[in-house]
Amino acid sequence: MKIKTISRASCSALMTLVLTTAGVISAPATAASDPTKLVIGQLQFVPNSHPLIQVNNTKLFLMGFIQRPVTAFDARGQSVCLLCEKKPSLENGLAKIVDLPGGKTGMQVTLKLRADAKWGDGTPVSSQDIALTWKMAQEGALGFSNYNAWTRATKVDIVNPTTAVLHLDSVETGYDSWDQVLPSHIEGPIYAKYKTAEEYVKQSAYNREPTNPGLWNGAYTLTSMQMGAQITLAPNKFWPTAPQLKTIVLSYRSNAAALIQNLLSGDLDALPVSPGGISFSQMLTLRKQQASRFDFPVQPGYNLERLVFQTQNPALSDVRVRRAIAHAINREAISTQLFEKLQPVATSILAENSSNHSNTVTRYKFDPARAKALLTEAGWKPGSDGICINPAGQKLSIELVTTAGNQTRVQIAQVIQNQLKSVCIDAPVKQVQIGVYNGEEMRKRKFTGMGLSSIQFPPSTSPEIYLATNGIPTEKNGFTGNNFSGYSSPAMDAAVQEAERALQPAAAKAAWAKVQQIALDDLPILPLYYYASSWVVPKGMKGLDAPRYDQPTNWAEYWKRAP
Amino acid sequence: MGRYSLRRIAEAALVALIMSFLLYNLISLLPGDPVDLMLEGNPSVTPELVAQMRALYGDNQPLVQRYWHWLGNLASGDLGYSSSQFKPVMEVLGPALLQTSKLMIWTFVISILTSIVLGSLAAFKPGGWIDNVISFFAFACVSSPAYWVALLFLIVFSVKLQWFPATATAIDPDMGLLKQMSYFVLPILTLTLFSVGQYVRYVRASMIETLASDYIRTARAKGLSRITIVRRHALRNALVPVVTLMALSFGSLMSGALVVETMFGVQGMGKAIYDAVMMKDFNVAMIGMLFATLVTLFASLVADLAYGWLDPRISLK
Amino acid sequence: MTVPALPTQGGHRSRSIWIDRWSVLRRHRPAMVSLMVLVLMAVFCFSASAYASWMGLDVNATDLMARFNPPSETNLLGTDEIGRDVLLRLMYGGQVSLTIGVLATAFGCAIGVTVGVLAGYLGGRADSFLMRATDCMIALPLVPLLVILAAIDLGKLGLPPEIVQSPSVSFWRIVIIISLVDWTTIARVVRAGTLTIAHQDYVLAARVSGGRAPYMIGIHVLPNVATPIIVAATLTIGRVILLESTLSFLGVGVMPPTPTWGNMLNNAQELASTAPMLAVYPGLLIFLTVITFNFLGDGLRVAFDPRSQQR
Repeated sequence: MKIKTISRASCSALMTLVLTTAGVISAPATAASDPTKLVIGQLQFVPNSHPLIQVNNTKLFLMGFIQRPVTAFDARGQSVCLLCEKKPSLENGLAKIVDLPGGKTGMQVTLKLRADAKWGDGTPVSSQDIALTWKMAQEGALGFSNYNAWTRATKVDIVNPTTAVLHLDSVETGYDSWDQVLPSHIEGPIYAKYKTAEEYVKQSAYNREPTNPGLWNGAYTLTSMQMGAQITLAPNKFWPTAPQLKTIVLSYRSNAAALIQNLLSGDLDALPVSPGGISFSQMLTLRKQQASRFDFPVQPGYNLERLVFQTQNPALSDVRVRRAIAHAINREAISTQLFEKLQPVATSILAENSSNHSNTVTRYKFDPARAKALLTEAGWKPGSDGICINPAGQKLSIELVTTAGNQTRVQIAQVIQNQLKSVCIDAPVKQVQIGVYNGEEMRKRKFTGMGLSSIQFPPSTSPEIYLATNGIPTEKNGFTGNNFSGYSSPAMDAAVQEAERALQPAAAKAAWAKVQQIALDDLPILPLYYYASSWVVPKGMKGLDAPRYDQPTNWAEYWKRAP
Repeated sequence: MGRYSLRRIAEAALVALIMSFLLYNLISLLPGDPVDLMLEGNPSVTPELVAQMRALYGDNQPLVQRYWHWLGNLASGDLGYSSSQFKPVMEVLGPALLQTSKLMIWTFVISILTSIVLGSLAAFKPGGWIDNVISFFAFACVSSPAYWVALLFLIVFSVKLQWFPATATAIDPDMGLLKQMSYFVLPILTLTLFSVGQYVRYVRASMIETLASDYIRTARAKGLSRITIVRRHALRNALVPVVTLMALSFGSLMSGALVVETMFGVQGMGKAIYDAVMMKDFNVAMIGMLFATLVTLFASLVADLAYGWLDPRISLK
Repeated sequence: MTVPALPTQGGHRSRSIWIDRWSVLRRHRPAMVSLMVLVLMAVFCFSASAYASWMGLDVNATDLMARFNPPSETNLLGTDEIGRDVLLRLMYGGQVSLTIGVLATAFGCAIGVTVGVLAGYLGGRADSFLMRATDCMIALPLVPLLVILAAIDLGKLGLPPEIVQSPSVSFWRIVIIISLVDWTTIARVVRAGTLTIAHQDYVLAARVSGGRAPYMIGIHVLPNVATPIIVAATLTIGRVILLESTLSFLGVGVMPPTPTWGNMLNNAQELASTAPMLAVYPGLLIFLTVITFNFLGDGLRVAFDPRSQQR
């Protein structure tokens, strides 16, 4: 009776399942890739789609497609106009140094927007947008965290619908770098009603209807956003240059292995290579095995992998110990064995293709004998177990902390541990999750010895946050600033000030040379290697092959795939 | 039975409440917060901005107060707002629940059917070679790390053979139904293997015991074939203890199988809870965990009641 | 007054029940094979330092010139991505994984036995409350809960920095959190056993004649629930090892460079195309260990069950 019907039903259910599966299997395998579509794999999903709140590199990658900043740094490291007509500079008069009351000097920067820059619903991008964005940043409640802050301007004058003049109250090198603007015709009324951060964030069109084309002024607009999963982009009808790729999909996976599997199975077309993607070693393996299906453009990049020293550690406070460590690590071997020399040894804190890179800084060659000599000079003699001890009997034990989950870093940390052991330094390796690393270890400066991670010196920001005394994160300043080593040197502070003020290229180069020289002499950080800028792309695809400070997606309309 | 159920429900609610407070405490102990995420690598953040952000995310209130506030909102039906996705919690967990259900309903149905068939087969001749093969298979399924099996499937079926697509996030709503279902084949297969491994042993043990009882021997003596015996007499009684197990597992399915969802990119409950925990999104994490807990508690109550109802020998106090 | 020894009856030696059980176990082939395999596995893993000194290898020695070497005379299974000997790492990893399995099970048993005995012995409200708490514990989603517990910041808990920064903290953390969530089966089993025993006449008689609770529990209850505890514990060890490897996969388990089979598997995931064997070995060892514990547990269950059909 009942059992009979149930068993009959289950039998037929099983049969249906088997047939369906057979049908599915016999369905054609993943169709040949559509050359007007590109599916890019990503590791970290953006928290929201607002251009100016919670900004990090992942967000900027997405924004490059859909929300162009006023200016960006191109492949030659120069700031160029994306939304403006002519980049403001001292030479062409669009930027001026002015005297301010009280004996200070400031600047006036004129931004003239392109006539053909339009939001996705046809409304032109206007100086109203600049004024609104500046107002929202200035009133401070919303927490805009974009890299080139609008708050550097103290006043904004609207001259005409496409021109605005920004007044700065100090002279600084980033005067010609400005970020995204918000659409005043959509966000203006919302901000007028909801001024607190909590309410604005809930009511902003970026969170309520991110697919509204009027929110986007880039080459693409956002057509669908499945949180945590996938973002789909389509061309912006009003952007002057029609893009070659008609559909772009950003598809998210939880780890690098998943990215590679999906790439090989055809679900993904392109992958970024670290930071923010698969590791460089994985790319090298893929390059050997899949050269017929993919291209692997590799160019020198701007990120620097470095060891940061805790200057409050009694052993590390002696510069000779830091220099000894520099001589003890065989950076050449790391670069050759792990990266096939494609990520070269870092000679200075600035990348080689950075315009201010200095070639004349002190070099630290791999020289274990010299390292041991320096340690002896600093009062450390080898103990009975091979680890150095000082006259007080303390061991030379310096902990090395790094982020978990990054295979390359783990490997390098262990290689460093080994190399330091042979010059009698004990370096226990500790791995922590990335949140703990960035928060407790670095920002709150709880790490006791050395930290291994990457940094970058963006051309439009001052080196102050990494190297100057007021860049040290402390409780008093709310733990802002990235000078995690706690390095403080009057000479460096002075050099940093000079570099901040040097607006002319020649002066900038000289000032930066001084900064780099002091940094390499005092070694608050030990540069290890420069990251290469690298991608895995479908064979014959053009456009992702040049490194830039700013995201390559800012020029996505020039990308094209082989037919 | 009514009083028993009410008492169980009341006790479960009380304990769930205590658990929720403990959970809230645990989540608040997680490192990092959205402010640190912002500070990461961003050179232009000022101290004032940081203070503002911390105030926004409510880090400056004492824990008990925040919990009380949350509980109050919950009692009045307000599930809260996700601080990591700027959306109401329902909009975050609703779609996740749908995805998990798609996976789990299929897994549940297939694994029950398969394990009944396999378990009964094994029980016909305990110690025979069919029994040994099936038992070994069951042990093997339960002893393998889930993500290792998932990885193997991905490598063999997606990468090498290209039979099935690798990740469910790539589902386009415009795809045909068949194509959409093909994305779920591998995760369902992985989950089914593990469930079958668990159920088969219980079905087998229960079936062996039932088949050894007197009334079955009588039926055999009367000359009925084995299949008929199983279908008509043994199945019903043998399944009684298994019902409990299955009801419990159904409850646990609602939390999603985190590992499988991660490997195959299914945006389900497990992944939603995991992401919320990693981003310290209290509201989503608490609601997600509590939902899964309550469903399981409810399922176990139903299972106990069903057990009591199905087997007249059991009486519920 | 001494009790005279009873004369044994006609040549038949009295056998203790344990010898009885052992002979049943011996006949259960899978269980015996598993027992042997486990003993071999333990010997294999814990002879790691002996092996290392014999071969002149160091488990932490990296050698960038010797990455991904195929098996050779010194490196019987080859080298990994930074030149470390794979076999040696598997041995040390096994030590850690097995130790976590045993320790977490032991602590979990301690918690489970306490809860079960209290529930069974005290009865009434306490029993009800403890059982609901156990139900709740079972109902909480296991893996997300473990992830939360594994990720909490110990500094915020108030632990001193020396402990928080120490290298063995991730090991102990895993042991403790797994034992905190995995005691429920044991609790239920112990409670059932306690309930049966506590209401026996001889126990009631002992209570009447003034036996105190700890004495009662120690002498009467525990020995009688020992057998289900042993079976449950054996099965738990396998589960614990799987849990540890899952946590390592999610990145919240024992942190490298301490090797465990779980984090070696996690590592190797990324090298699946370069060096697939690096993924096979730890996975295989986990599988082997867990399945042998499962078979052994099953065999013990059969041996201890007086009604079992296979006697």
